[in-house]
Amino acid sequence: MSLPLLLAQATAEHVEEMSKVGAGKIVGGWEYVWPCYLIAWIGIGLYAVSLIARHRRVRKGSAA
Amino acid sequence: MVKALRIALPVVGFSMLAIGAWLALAWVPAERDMGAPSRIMYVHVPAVWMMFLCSILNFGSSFWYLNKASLKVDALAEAGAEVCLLFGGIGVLLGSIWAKPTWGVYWNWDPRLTSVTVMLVTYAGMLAARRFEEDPDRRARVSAVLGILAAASAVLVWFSVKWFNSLHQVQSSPKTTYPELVFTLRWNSFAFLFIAIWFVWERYGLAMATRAGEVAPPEPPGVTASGGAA
Repeated sequence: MSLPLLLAQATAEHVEEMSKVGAGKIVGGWEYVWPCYLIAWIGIGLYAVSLIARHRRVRKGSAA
Repeated sequence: MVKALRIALPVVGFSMLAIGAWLALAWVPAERDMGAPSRIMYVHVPAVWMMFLCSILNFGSSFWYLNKASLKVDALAEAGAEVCLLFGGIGVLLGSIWAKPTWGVYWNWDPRLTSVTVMLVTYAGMLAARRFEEDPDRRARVSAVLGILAAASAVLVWFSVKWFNSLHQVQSSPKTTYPELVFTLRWNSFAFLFIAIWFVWERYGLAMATRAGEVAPPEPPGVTASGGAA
């Protein structure tokens, strides 16, 4: 392969890679935001429910 | 007063969390370069802060227990460890999702991520070890030693972004951040704080109730529940 051809190929690869970088700003991304909020709410909510349930179980156990 | 506070903490905390979600998802502008994923900060950062606070609580209680053994202190250490693991787990999971649009991968064995994993595994190990040991005093001592080890790893987690070459950004300060972002982050942090205090309080109560059942002295043989001889 000749040098000019190699250079042209390398340039084309570089241009293709750089086109993936864009302007350095993230566009969109809401599909990552919603799961995060859902995980936080569900995690906190489930733990609160588990605490209440465990309290009830201990109270029942001590009453029995 | 105590009963009112016990009801007020979750009511205020969950109400603030709901308003905080509106602030974070609709009111505050997206960060200039990061766009929408920057909104993950308002749940990721408070969750991690609560993890650190509970880790400090666990460390203090563990250290206190080794100096002066007390069932109450051990119960507080247990509550701190469990709530720390909850918020740490949430924080790491959200951080992992946030990493995808910003770093291009969900997970990377970066110093911050590795150290926080070690810390959470230590807390999970401590809570698991507590279930295997039946002697309350021995269980509390083992757990206190593990609590101090876990706190040492928490120090490593905090400074990992400064001491090592980490992909994770260093800690920001309000001086380097836009006021709208600071307000929303503070609001959500207080919501998480009230909920975390309530969680620790309730978990402490649960641990104390369980201890009461464990340490109740067995009735001497030949004595009935009513106190009379059988």
